[in-house]
Amino acid sequence: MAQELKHVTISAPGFLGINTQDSPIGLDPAYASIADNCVIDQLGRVGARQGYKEVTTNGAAVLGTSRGIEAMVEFISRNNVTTVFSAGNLKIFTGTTTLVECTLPVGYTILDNDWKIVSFNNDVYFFQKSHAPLESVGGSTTLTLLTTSGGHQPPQGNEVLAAYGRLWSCDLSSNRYTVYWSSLLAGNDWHGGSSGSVDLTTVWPSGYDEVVALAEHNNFLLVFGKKNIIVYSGATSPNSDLTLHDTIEGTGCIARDSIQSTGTDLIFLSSRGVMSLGRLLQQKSLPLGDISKNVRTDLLSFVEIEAHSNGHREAIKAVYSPIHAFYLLTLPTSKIVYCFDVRQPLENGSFRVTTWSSLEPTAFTMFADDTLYMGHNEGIISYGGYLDGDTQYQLRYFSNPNDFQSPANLKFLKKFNLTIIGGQATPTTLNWGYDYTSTYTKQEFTFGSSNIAEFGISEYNTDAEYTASIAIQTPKVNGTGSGSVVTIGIEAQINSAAFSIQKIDILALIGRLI
Amino acid sequence: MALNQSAFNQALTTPMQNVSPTTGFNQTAFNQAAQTGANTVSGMLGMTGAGSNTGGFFNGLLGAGVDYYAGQQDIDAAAQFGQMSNQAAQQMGQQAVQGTSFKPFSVTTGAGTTTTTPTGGFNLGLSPEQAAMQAQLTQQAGGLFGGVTGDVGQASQDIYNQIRAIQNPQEQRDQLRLNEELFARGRGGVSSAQYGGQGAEQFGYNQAQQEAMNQAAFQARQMALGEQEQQLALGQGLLGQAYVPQQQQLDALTAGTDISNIAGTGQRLGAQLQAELGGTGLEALLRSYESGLAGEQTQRNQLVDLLLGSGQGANAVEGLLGGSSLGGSLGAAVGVGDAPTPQWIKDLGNDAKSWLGL
Repeated sequence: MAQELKHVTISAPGFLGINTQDSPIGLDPAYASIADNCVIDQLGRVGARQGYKEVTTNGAAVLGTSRGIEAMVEFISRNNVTTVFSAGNLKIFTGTTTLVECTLPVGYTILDNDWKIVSFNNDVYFFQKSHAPLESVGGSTTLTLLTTSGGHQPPQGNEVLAAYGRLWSCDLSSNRYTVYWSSLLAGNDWHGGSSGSVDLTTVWPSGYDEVVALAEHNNFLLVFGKKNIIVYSGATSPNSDLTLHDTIEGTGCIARDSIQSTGTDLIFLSSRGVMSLGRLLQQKSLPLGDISKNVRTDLLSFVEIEAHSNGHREAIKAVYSPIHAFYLLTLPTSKIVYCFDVRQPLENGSFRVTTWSSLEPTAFTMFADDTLYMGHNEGIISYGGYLDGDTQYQLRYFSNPNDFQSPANLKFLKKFNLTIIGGQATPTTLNWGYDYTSTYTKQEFTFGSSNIAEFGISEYNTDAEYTASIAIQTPKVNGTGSGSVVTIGIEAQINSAAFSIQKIDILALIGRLI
Repeated sequence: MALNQSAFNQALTTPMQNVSPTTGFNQTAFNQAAQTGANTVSGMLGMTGAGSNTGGFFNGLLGAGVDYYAGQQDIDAAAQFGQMSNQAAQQMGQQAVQGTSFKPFSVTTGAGTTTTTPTGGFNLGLSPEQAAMQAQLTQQAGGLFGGVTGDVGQASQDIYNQIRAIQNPQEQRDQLRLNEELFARGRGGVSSAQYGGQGAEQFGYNQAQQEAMNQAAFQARQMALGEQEQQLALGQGLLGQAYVPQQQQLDALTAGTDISNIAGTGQRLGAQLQAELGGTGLEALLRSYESGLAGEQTQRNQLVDLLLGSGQGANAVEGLLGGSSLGGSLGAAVGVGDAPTPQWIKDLGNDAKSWLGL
């Protein structure tokens, strides 16, 4: 008598994102062990991220063999003229399609590409450690040095923030404990008017710390040290009203450009992972649950690589895209991007996280048209489509080992019924393996192509399609082998089409006790 | 002898003209008066008498000689009388001077003894205690006056330092409190160009401190000047007190002077009365002498008439020595010719002296 097959359905596999921190046994099958080049799509499924489109046409000429564009900002003047400033290969450019090198002050030499570029009061300011700050007046392509006042030089800070009607700067090579602010509405006046500074030596709650970054959030001025955060209020009148509101000990920011505001939260990279300051503010000094706790170990190992490779972490960039509802954190040395879905936190307080590889962005910025632009070794690229330039990229999803709630029985996988949304002409490989192996049994298949129904086109005597509006693939694969725990994976070469894993039905035979 | 009364009176009343420095008598005026009298007498005994003849001539000559002698006796008597009057007046004047001269006196109080001098001065003699106290007060006043003229800037600085020394502890407490507040609020390290390189609170504190310092400096200046005024007032007071005993001595001298004036007034009144009485006596003596002289003149005229006759014409009366009998014993009796001056005539002069008290 044939045994009854046990039917196991993994709906929206991996939609809780990657979880490499908890024990895989007994873990919710909605967690993935690998979700590379994936995002959590609008329907809560693991889907392929979008690719990029090359914007710059002369990238190779102006960037050479450098890492590419490492800083970028879109400036819109009062006259509604848009100018994109970018930096790379020890140069500063304007333009997107064609990068045009800006005119620097005479004798000015750029030694690094860790520019922090901000727009303030119809001007653009460029700050970088050990570099005299530069200014583009009204978006001019000719950059000038900031004016000096009484022989005083503007601070050569590594960080600059435009907030509360003035510029704020910190992290000088010779002074990492003082925050400077410019005169009101005068980003080039750092020693006159209402300019000033505050020495944080006596403010750090855990002794000495180094100022890494600044941010404005919830009407507070946030000063990020490496291991502490100082929350100041009254930054609207810093000379008289700047007042310590709170200090957060043990959590700081280790990457200047990792700070992104989502409107309600401020997300940044700390030595404990990616944190949300909004929650920190709510929870005050209570133990923190970082939003990257599901991938903490992996993430911090990659961060550590960044720190060791560059000596600083300015290469780590981040961006928040309200359109795509994700927070991207790129680790260029590791060539990996962590993508945090910010729609809804999980029960443990973390965000659903996936990774991106092979994209290798070096800078991010959201333009006014809500287009995500990135810096790349080829120049400026925009996020969109389902090709990395002209190249396919691979989506990889692997589940955690699953015992089908019968940890003491052998499992014989008999059949896989996949439901894939999209994925036209996408070479796909189904992987499965037993007992924590990394050597999987593979079954490759390719989805057929089909034309997508067109809307608003006459159906009579035309080529109008009558198919569904989106392709739905339901491949069926017979399984082999047996084991106590099963790992399932899907690898798909994204080829100009969306690809989302809707469901995986597994028919397994539950065998004897081990 | 005939005396010109008016000229004599003039001589007495105008002693300032041709006054002898030794006698105080106007000899010139007196001689003029006497000469005028002699002439007048001579005229009265002129040789142009009626009924004169040879005997008359002799009679006239005798009469002239008698008149001359009589006049000479009057002159001598008047001169002697004048000298005696002068001496009497001088004696009275000396007595008046002696009677009205200042008699020095002394006033003794608890503060000392004040003595006057004959020349009108006085000596305020303080007791040793008072003198020592005066010296002490004067020295102290001098010290205070030295402070008045001292360096105001240094005095102000000293007071300023004292005020600041009082203010400093509270300022230090305020600074500590401010530091605590600043560091608690995370503003300890704020430096602002708007507030001169420091935070608003520190700027406000420093501003308040500077204002306090300015106020202290101004207050110190005022106090220094006030102290100088006080020193001046104290010095003046001490100096005034130092001279109080002398003032009291002067007041006592004034009181003593009033008392001495009582005695001096009697003395001066006595001297004045004595001088006035002396003058009155002298004047009465002069009048009596004048009367004596007039009586003697009359007597001599009667005697001349008796001897030489009188009257003319039908009224002519022949004298004892008139006519033929001229040159007789009577003539000798009156000293006519070579006969000596009879004693009785000499006695007239002596009587006149006694009348004058000479």
